[in-house]
Amino acid sequence: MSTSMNKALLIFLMLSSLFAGIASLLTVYVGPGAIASGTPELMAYLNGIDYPKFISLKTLFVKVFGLSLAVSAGLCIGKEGPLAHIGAILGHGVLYLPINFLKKFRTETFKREIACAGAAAGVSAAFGSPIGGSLFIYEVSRPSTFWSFELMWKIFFCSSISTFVLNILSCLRKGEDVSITNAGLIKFGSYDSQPY
Amino acid sequence: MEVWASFTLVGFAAGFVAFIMDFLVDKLILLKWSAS
Repeated sequence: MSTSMNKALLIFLMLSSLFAGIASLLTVYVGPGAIASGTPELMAYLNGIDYPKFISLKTLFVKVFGLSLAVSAGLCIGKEGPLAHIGAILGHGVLYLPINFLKKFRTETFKREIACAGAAAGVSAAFGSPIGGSLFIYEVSRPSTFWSFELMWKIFFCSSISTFVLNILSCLRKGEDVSITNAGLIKFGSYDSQPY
Repeated sequence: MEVWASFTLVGFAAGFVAFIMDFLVDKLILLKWSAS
């Protein structure tokens, strides 16, 4: 290999290590609640287990920035699964916004309902699939006792909003016309119809 | 109605954070490749 190629490879490896190092340090020293994917912890939380540091602002910060750094470093992880955890924290966070009508919703049952909605919204935004996100959280929280059929509609509505918001923002960022074809963070490419 | 409003807020927040993460990852990967 030429010298310039070696230099480029060295810089690439150094930057990857730096990103992975920062992500690890953030997780270990700032927000240990962000360790692991978040989905098993979410299942435990929804079923009544008080998982330490699962819901906190520090965990949210570390999950968002640590995960972005870890994905950029090229580690074998995706940002789609942990969005369920991020969504659950956001659900809780919304309840503590300084809006009057939200105060009466700060009950343990509603916190779990809105954590479900947040998790479904996160998964829906990642995969561009509100129905998939709703069914995912149904599967995750099915053994719990708070689930009701009406909740499914609310969760589906919430998932649709998150997919729509991500879609619009992605279109605006890319300078494209706003359409509903830009949903999700994962793109599997376009499927052309094949002649049979 | 207020319940639906709270669920709407969560939807907005999740969509926005997913966008921020996508943006960050794109920029960091671009930085890594352009620097090397």
